[in-house]
Amino acid sequence: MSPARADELKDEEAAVYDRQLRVWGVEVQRKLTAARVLLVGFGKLAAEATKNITLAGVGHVTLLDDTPAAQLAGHNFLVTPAAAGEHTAAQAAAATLQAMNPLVKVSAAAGPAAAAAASADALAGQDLVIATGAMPLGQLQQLNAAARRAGASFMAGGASGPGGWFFVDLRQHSYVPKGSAGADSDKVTLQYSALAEVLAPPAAPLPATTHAMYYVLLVCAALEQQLQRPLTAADLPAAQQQLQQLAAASPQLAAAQQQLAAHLAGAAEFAPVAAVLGGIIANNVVAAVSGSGAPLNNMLFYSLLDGRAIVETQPAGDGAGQPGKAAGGAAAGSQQQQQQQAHEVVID
Amino acid sequence: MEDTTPTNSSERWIDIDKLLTRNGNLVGPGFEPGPELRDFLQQDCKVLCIGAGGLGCEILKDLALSGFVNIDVIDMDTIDVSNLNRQFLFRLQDVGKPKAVVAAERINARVPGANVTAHFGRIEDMPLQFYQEFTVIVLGLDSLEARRYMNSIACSLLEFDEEGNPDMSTIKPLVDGGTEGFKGHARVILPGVTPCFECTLWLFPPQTKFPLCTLAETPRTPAHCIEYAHLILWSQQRSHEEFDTDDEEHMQWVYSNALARAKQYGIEGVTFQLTQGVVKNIIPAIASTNAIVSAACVLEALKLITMCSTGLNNYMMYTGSQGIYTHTVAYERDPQCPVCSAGVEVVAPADTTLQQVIDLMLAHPQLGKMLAHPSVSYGSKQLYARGIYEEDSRPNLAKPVRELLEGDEPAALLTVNDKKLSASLRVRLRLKEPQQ
Repeated sequence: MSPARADELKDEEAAVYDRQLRVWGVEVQRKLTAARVLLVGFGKLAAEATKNITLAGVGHVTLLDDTPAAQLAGHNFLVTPAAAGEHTAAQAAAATLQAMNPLVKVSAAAGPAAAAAASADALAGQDLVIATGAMPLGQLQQLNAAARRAGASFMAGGASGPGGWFFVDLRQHSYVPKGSAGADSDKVTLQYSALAEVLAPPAAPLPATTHAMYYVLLVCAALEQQLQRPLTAADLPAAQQQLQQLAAASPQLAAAQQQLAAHLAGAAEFAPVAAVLGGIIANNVVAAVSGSGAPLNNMLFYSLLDGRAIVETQPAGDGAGQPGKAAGGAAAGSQQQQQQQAHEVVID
Repeated sequence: MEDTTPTNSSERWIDIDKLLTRNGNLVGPGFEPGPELRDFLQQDCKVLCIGAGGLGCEILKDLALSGFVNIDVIDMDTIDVSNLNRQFLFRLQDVGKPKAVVAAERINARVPGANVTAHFGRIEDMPLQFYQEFTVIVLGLDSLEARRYMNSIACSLLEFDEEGNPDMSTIKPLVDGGTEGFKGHARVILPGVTPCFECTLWLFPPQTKFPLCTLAETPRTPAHCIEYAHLILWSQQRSHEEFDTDDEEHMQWVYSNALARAKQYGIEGVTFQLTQGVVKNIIPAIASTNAIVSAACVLEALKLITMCSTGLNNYMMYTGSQGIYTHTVAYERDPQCPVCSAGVEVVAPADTTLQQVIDLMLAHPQLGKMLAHPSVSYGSKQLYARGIYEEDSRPNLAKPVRELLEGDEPAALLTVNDKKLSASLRVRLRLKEPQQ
């Protein structure tokens, strides 16, 4: 990669982006400027993620959520009480974000987040769709499929009480690992799974290390599918029953039962948790858009209670055609190894 | 439109209440769930945020949204255009204004009920009593020196009992964050319990200083050429002027001279951007790393105060350039730490004079580096004082020190002050009888 030449950017960009150009260089910055990202659903997690990607210089950011801004005012730092007025959350937040970085374009799309999957207008031309509101899993899966049809990658996540989760679908994604020479032979190519595949009932018993939250998501997806409607707190007994069947042998059962109850009760987003996940989302957006550096593959579960963020590849594959399989380059073998094992990081 | 936000209703803080009013299997030791915790957080607790920059903006936001109300912030800087890629509370129109002032205004406007007080000034200019008021201090600093200073302040508040054990009620917790590019750290400092900043100074690599002969005779890298122009040429050709990194003409002068030197030696890579980086010691920075590290710090502050979960023990490193990786280490205290221990031990023969004790301290491998002209006190008694009382206390220097101490305790706790120090040091003097 040629050394960064700040004079190839506009003067204002070079001045404002100076500190981050020294991190990732002009080429990555150019790709960020050219990127178009749609955020579906707006809350604390979306606020954090959009703040980070707007500051990073993603050229076109669109927000989609017609919840009245007044409902968020005062406990979402992008929606000031003074500005809430008659606006939607998307409009109020977009205004704050636009002021935060006049070098990019931040706008609000019309309509409810729930209709995003059906909104060809909103999806057209987007490189990446990110859903962070409390959407039912069935809707998220539809949105993922619609994004793929529109030629976009997809990310989804949620912050709930002390924890949260994050999922990435970059379809077929090639990247150059940092520190490599950058030749074509160094490139790594990953095949990602869509959320529907990730949340489909597992064909085989899950490994003992599988995170409790993954069980929760599987159970909720299956029950939603059965009942053909979003779940409520009243569905807890039925959900617990399914969990018992799915996770009886798992050491994570007790943790999963607790998290399932919290998930169905709808715990609110906690700001510092949203901030951690929002930072991780932004780093993945930069990796996804620029093709530089390894993106998440493909799920992350975080809890402030034990300070851990667990990375897993789901479904865990074991052979050809399985998701997460790397292709190309000497890095392939070790890459695959890494993908199959959950690895653990601690963010206290 | 009328602000209908419920300012302190349980509905608004439902996320925090779930953490603080319910028990669980991952809570901290001694955790007592109940509404009193949030009451304490929002009424009695005072938190200080040092810095209103990349980390500071994020810390203030997270503190306010986590239910903290009484928040002070101190920063001596004004806003620069290069801050805008991550210090999200600031806008282009704010360039030139004090960071602390603008940050406080913005948080107070966005989070109803938040009471952020700004201090536009240096941390060195605040009296010790100022720092004493806070329940916890969160650091969003960008230099070693500033961290050492705040560390010495917090540790100087620590008192020990006769056995040399820390008095828990005098512990002033610090939470320290730092970032650069995709990397960062968060650590918890409980003076007397966890290692203080001084205990782990060895963690930091020595700062880059090029040998003068390399700059003058044998440059190999673009940075050598830049520092040649900045340090050597400037003092030769423009010694009457003080070099100002904010002066465009000064920077261009260094750049063009660095370029000329590089051409002379066939060295590639001198750019204006690199020149700025080298001369100003610029730290590359992005918003996402600051967001993650700051959130980790605020979570630690919350856990320290409420015990809602086990705290970080005690140093976490984070990197996000290749996926995500962190590593948490429980570093250990240096029992001889001059800043946070009950006292660095100095052993001397029983008949040693006070002057000889002072000489021993100046010759001590650790203490000697920190002292130049020390004053010594014992409890409330000034044994030898520099300054206006020097003449009065001078006769003590010749006396055997045991005459100046009380009784025959095994080790006497002396307090040493010096212009070089930001806060006093503790020294434990052990006098040995000749037969031993």
